[in-house]
Amino acid sequence: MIVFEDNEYVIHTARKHWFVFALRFIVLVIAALIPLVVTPFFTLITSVPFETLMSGFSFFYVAYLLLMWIWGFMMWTDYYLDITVVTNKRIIDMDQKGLFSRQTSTMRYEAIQDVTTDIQGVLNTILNYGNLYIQTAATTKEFILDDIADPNLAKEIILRELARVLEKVE
Amino acid sequence: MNFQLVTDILNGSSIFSYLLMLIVGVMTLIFLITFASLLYHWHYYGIGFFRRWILIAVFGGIGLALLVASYGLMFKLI
Repeated sequence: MIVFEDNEYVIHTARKHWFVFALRFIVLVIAALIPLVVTPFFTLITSVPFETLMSGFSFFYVAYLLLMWIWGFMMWTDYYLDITVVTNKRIIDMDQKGLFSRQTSTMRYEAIQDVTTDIQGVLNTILNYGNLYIQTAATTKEFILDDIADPNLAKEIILRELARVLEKVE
Repeated sequence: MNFQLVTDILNGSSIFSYLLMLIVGVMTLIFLITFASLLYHWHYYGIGFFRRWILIAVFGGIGLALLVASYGLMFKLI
């Protein structure tokens, strides 16, 4: 949970593009369907009666589906809770790394030296998603926001806020 | 290929019964831990009230249905 400072408000939020999640979801669906395709072939090479095989298969398939279901929801939660919040004072990047691991990084505008976007590939260009790199002073780490939706808009907003903050400092 | 072991197992050997119980037990544990953890995340990191309840109903409902089905199939097999 983000605790905002006094007079701090949210300007923009960015998360991974929905297509990135959709791709992973398709892989999950294919993985869930593979046993249904493979098992009929298995009956051809074994002497185990079809009914016996199916009773065992249905148990393992239901257990497998449950695992896939859990995995799918963990994926969705990871996608939904991985979020970057741009406020008028700082940039907050929250990274859900697993069920019990979460990393939150904060970057103040004063530390930003360069903001770069990187959109590579046909799908990335058509769907407008890519990486955003925020470079800071050498001693601190670089912010990398992977596969975010509309990285150029995020870049523009960050640069605009950076200019405003620097203007205020001067 | 020799599938005698597979046939024995599917016909209900005791080792297989314990194996099935172990699998279902582990699945139940995984489901409960994941559900509790996801509930915590959805609540703590600000997923809205209605969306949260929809998630709980869908994830919990179908997950529970699959779990009950696996228990049913286990009892049928052992």
